[in-house]
Amino acid sequence: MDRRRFLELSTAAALTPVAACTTRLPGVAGRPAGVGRAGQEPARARLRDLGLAVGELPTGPLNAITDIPGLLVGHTTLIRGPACTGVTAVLPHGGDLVREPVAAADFNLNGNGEFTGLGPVRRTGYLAAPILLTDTGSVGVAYGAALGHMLAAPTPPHASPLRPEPVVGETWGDFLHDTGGRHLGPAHVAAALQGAAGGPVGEGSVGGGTAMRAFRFKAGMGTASRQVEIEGRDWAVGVLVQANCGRRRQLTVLGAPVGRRIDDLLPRRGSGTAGPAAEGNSLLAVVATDAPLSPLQLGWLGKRAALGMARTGATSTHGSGDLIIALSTGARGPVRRARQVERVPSDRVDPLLLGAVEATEEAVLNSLTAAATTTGRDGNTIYALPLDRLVEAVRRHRGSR
Amino acid sequence: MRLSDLGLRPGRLDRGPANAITDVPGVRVGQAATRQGGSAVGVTAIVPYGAAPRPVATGLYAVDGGGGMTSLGVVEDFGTASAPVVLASAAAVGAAYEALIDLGLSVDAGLPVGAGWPPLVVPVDDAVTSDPAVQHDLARPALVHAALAAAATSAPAEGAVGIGAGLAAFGGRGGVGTASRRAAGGQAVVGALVAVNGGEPTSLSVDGVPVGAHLRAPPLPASAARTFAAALVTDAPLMPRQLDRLAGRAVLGLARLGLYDADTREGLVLAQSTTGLVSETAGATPAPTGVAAPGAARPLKEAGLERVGLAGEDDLPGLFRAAAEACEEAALNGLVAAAAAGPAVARDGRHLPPLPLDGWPAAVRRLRPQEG
Repeated sequence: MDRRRFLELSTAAALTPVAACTTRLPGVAGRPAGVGRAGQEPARARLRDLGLAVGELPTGPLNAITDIPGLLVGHTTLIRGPACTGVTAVLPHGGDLVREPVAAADFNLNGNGEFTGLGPVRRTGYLAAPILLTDTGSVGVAYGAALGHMLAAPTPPHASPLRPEPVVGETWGDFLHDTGGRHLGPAHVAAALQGAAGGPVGEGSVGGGTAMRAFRFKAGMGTASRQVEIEGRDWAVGVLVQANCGRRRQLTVLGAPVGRRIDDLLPRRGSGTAGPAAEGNSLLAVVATDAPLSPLQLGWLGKRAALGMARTGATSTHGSGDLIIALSTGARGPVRRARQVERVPSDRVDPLLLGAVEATEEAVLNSLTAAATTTGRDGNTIYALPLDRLVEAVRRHRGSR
Repeated sequence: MRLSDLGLRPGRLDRGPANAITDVPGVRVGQAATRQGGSAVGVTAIVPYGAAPRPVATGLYAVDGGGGMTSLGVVEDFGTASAPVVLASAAAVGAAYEALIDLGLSVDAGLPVGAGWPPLVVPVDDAVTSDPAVQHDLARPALVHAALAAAATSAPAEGAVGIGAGLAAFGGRGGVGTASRRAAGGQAVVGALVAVNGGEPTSLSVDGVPVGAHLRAPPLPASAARTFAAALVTDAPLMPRQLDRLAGRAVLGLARLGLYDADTREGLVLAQSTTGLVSETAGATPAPTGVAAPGAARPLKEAGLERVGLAGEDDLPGLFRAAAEACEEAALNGLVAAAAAGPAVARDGRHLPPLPLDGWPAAVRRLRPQEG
């Protein structure tokens, strides 16, 4: 095989313009955007690059979940033959997660999806394990590899009464990805965990979102953050989504009925026939804050991510796996002994709740603006949301009011 | 009469000073009942918040949906309750709710959450000896106000009083009972109060000895009430999630005596912490189990934050055991005290005799000859 073909096959992770936390396949030097599989364009833009902004709160410096200090994200992307998938790892911090868990809670908006490891989170109110987001067929390998990572950590899971388990979430990406082919391997998962870092976060067709589509446009990973003030102190709320949700006609951007205006560019099989009628059906969201919150308060925060998703038009259909986990790095520390903890009083949390709504809405929209048209197995293609027509549709909607 | 008067002592943890739910500092209990013929309406109110209504950390464990409780929305979503816990005859829930709204309005005319609203009424299905239509007529807010006015920190009366007025259990009289235990290795106390209602006669077990096997009572009819309710309070600083777990373990104590078994319809265990979620004043050093002074409720706000005590995960097993033992003994105390109330007749004509307690000590000794 010639050098160009070799690079095409193995630098799929170079789709994103930012390199800080996107792991290439082992052994291959990173290449800038532009080199990829035929039919694939590099990652494109963030919503704000288009002059569009969600809500009223200011963003954090990166407008990403990594605006929460210490929180780490890593992607591995695998596009090769019939494989079009990846895994995204989220670590609440880079220290000993079992000795110093973070407060956490989950919210099940519609339960047709998987998020392993929530039993210990629900029982204790703490997360002492990494979060992994991937495709449906890769949950097992992700769980196993994450468990291996936890067993090798300074404090293994069985050494704590928390008895944590890997938290692995999934969405269905079968149109582009050969779900049953066992393509993702333990090394891919380990790379995402070990390569997890702060800094800008790759969006679109990367990591767990590589094969995913929302509103029948190419989507996948998206992130955003907000900065809120409570009694003179600033806190960050950041959201990372793996967006696979919504029907085309539902797509709403800043109130504009974009999905009704752009009714072409529907998914297409390699054989030339139209893609499946079944439309988007899942959203995974990780909501993080450095504000010290209790598990119960984090449950409130997680619920608000559902309201952010709703603003993009998705309605959480019966077939959806819309699963949310919320965590607080401000509520981090040993939990075995009685102690005093600081927290935001419950009657002061509203700014954080608003931040979660806005950041989730923006994260979903970012997944759409970032993702490039992607071709996967059997030549199946999901098209990117055309940015010029998006901007035009929003402008027209504003002008008409 | 109490279980200890029979020389019986289930469990291995130390009891609190009065072996009652009121051993938890600051907790008050008030009871009232009214009768007409063979019907009775009873109320037992547990006031956990000390001097004035405030949010008290609350968890619960519902068996089969729990038999209904008001204020579920706030308890489930906020993990707090700021009203007294009122165990009431099911026919008296409306009247109890009215009385608690009156109380809430007297605290704050805006009825904000956290200052006496929403009312927390736990219905107990006690229409066994009572005619529910008569109970409905008898139920008045004044009865609940009387119970609240009588609330005191002294150990509550047991047996066929308060919520225990018209209960039936294990083929005989049921009643209300209370007990307490100190958590192993710590300072914390767990107190329990149980409305002993239901229970298949042959299921009755005392300290692991199946004394029910000797009872000559027929099985309960299908129409018999088989729902129990229990309230736990502790001064360990537990958060709501931990209180849910505590309540779940307490149920095991009720299973041990046979009150919770395959025939139980529904049951509810409420668990509260007098120090959980309570901000500690500056300078206070918590005890090893983080016990704060009762009623210490002035928030310490540092740049918008408050500081609260929180029990460690390692503290929980000891508290779980205390909850289970306290519930078991509280239920047995209720049965023992109710036996002194004499027989009753169910509306379907069944006789509800006092349970034959005399055989209990001998039965336990037979199984455990080495214990005194």
